[in-house]
Amino acid sequence: MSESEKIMTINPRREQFKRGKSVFSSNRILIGVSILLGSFMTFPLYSQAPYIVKVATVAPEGSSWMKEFRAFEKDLSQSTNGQIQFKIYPNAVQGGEKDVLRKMHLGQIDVGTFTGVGLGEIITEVRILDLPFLFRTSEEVDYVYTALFEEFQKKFIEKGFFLVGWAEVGFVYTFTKTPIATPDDFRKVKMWLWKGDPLAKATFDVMKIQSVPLDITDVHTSLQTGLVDGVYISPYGVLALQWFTKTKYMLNYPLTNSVGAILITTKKLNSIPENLRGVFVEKTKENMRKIIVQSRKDNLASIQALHKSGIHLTTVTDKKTIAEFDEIGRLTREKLVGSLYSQELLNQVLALLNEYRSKHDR
Amino acid sequence: MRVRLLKTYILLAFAGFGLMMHSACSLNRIVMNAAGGFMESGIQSVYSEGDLELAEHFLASNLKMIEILASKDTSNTRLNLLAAQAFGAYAMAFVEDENPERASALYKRGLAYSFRSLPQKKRFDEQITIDRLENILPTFTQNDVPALFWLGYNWGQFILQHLDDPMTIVHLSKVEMIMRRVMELDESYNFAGVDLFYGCFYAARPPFLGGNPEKGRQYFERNSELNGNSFLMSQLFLAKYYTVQIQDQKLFDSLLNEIEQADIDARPDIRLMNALAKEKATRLRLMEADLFDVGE
Repeated sequence: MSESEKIMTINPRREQFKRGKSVFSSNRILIGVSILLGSFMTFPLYSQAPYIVKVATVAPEGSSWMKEFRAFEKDLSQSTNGQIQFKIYPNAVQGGEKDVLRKMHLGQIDVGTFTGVGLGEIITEVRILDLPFLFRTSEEVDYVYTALFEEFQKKFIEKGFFLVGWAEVGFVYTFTKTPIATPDDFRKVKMWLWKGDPLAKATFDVMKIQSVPLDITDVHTSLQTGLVDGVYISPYGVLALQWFTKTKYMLNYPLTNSVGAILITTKKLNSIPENLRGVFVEKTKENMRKIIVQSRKDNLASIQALHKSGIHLTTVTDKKTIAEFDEIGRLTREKLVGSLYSQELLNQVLALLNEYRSKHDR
Repeated sequence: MRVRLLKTYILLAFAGFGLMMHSACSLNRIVMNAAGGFMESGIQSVYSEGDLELAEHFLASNLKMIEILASKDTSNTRLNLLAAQAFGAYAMAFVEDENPERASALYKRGLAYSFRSLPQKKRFDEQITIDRLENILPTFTQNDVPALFWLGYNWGQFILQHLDDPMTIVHLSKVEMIMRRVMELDESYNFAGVDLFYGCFYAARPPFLGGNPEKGRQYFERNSELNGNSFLMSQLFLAKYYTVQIQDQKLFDSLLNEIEQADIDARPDIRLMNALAKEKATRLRLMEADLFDVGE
């Protein structure tokens, strides 16, 4: 893998560990061969592409994610000589993640992009990758995600979905109206809780935070009215939703890393001839990596944009506070054993993390 | 004595040169104002042009002239407003559908002129904080509506071309604040363009991303009502944003049929806008298969 293809990484929590303090694609391919003026020129002639893959995503047209996905669409079409083509429904016109999931079950949509909330509707275990205060850096995320990929893929196949690739949302931060730097500070704010998300609820219960369960549609208004005065979201997300205009502070220490993935129904995948199927899977994986790279860049650029627009970045600077956040992470992951995932899977994740850290942390 | 005479001569020469320069400046200003006034009437008269090619050539050939006039007098809010309007309108009408990147550059130029079209004492730039903008906007009056509208318009259009750039989308809420002030001061300005803005603002996004398609529809309908139900842009935007967001293909077809069958001569004063709506509706119709149909 070339240097440029390597996943760009974000190390939001690396600095503090170094310094001991916290900061953060014819029905057949018809190749027309023309002999023109003694030279060979080949023209690929395609009839209507037989394999139309319907993709639903919440990303708006023109967004960074959609631009990358449009490039992927072109790459896939070229790589399969036009035999696999996407029909993309952006901007959540097919509804939210649960709607898309339902449409995938009905065969109306073939491919969906999901966050942990949607993925958790299929197999709850995947939420283990959303646990709070678990990952310190993007390298750790990549290490664990890669190690667990095949295992999760088998679980998704059992449910009728093929996990083609991860597509993380990225590190999630807390945005509040008053500055927060410690777990105690969290208790002074009324935090938004994504209604129906068991993982976020468990986390806030452990943190003893007064949370207000709300649909995402009500968050902006609730920030305006004061029903909530704290939210958690990726930096790019807080910009796209403009929630930052109602908050003043960002805790530059991630609450969690939010998992994301792209799934295709096994029914659709199996309808694609084997030779094309392989190309589809490989190209998707390859392009998802590019999307992750871009996503990480966008989140970094968003933090800069937020800072420039006047949002105060609060940093965590002492080992004691970091230990407190780590303890919240430990209590939360233990609390969710049995309900979201097994002790065995948790042990596996922690072992992978330890393995990575023992090799890389200095 | 000779020295005194020489001094007097030099003083008189400078005075004469100064007077000449002053006269030239005044003359320039008069010429620029006259040219600006001519351009203003030209922009206004082009609204009644039904021949899109003619309108496009007129605008394209005069953009540079307007720019030259505005650059000669950067403090002339009237000329800068004219440039802001001309660049923004030309980009939307004749460039955006075929060449978004070029349109983006044109909106950016329109935006720069927009900032300069603001009254000197209330002038701000894109780095203004939200708090400061909140404080200064109430000081803008009805006379400032054109400057505010074209600022919000160019800024909003530029952001739409750069949804992949955090440094750009960070300003979206400022655009909404500016348009809110326009709505308060004069909703009817420029064919109630602020209603089209809010229509897109709410209908182009799904609810969980801050959108509200029904609210967007109401703004489009309000825009249509304020324009005597004969402004085809209202139906075009309703079809482009609202029907796609709620996936109502039947309404989409019906709206495009209405636009295609409309007589652009029924409203000579807005012939250009209606001719444009017809052309854009034809383009939109070609995208129908990509925008709808999820059946197997």
